[in-house]
Amino acid sequence: MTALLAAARAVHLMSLMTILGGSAYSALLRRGNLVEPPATSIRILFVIAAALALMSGLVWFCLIAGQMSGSWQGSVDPSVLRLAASATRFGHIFAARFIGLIGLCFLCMLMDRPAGAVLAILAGLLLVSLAPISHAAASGGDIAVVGAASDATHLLAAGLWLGGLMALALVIRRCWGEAAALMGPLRIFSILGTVVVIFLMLSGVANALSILPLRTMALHNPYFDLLLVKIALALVMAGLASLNRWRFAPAMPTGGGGAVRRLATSVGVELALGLFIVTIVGYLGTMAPH
Amino acid sequence: MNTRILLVGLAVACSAPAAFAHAFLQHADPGAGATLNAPPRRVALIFTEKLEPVFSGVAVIDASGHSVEAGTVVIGGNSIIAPLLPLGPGKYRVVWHAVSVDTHRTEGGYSFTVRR
Repeated sequence: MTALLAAARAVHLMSLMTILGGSAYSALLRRGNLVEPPATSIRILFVIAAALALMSGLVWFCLIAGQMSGSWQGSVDPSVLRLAASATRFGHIFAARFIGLIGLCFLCMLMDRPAGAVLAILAGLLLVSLAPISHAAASGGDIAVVGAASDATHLLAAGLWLGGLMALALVIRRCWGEAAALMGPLRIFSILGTVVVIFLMLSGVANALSILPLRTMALHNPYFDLLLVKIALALVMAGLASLNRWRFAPAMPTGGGGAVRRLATSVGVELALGLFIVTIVGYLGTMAPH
Repeated sequence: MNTRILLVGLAVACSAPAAFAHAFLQHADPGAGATLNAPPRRVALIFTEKLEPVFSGVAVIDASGHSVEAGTVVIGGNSIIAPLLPLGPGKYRVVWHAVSVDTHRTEGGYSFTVRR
């Protein structure tokens, strides 16, 4: 059940990140009159992501209710689910989130151009709403506010990066035969990525200070070990992003099809790493950092 | 040593979002293994995290397995307080379960003794 809970968390986070980053990046491209991801592709991607976010959110809620009750059977017990929804902070937040998730599904299905600021804001709010039930928020006091704020910032930054990367992959596919058309979208993504990485680092520091018992922590703590794997992968991801920014993107105007192919491969690997990192985050959420 | 510092630094810089933890027992009165000259009027448990009252609780039982709490157990913030019946000499076991507001459940127990 723990594996299922970790998977539900990972799918939920990744789905919302896809919509947040994808819609925000697409909106920036539209504003700059640049090549956008194909409307049909982005709509299908967002509808699937919104549906997955809703379903994984439901699974997450039920499993947490069972966990709180002390028995996984509580996950399918209506009285436990009712109690969890009505009398816990987690339940109150998730009840509100379900309304938002259903709204997100409808917006993705019904909007003419499902890639705008409204979607980005709603997906962002749904991610941010997870912060008040984080460990940092549970600790109480001023540190709880700082920790929740850093959680929210970290989720938003990661979402803008990963979701934006997905939209960029669709743009690359659309511009496969015309490398020059990619220059604008790559420039926008480069600016977005730089800002996002800065916020990821800063929020990561604040997050760690509010969560990890740094003074007493043993480096063989399983949580810490898994966190190190996550960090290593994130550093590789940042390295690939730098490669895209300073090596592959400048070669685009003269590099022809080979340059686009190299860029596509790098973005694909970066995305795969991002998915793996979110999966790790799903597991980290089920573990104690001390 | 430098490697350790580097690893901790990296961890600080890139910690995971929404890393949930558990409510651990931080302080108990009477304490674990305590031997008391006078019977306590209550058991007070303080945890490291804020608690969800509806999924948290405590039971205090005597050597024959009977519950010795009196009245309502008060759960609020990060504490659980259970008023007790007048206790006679003997050994008592405190069994608690706590769900922190980040939804994780922990359980535990300890004993204390009231001297004859």
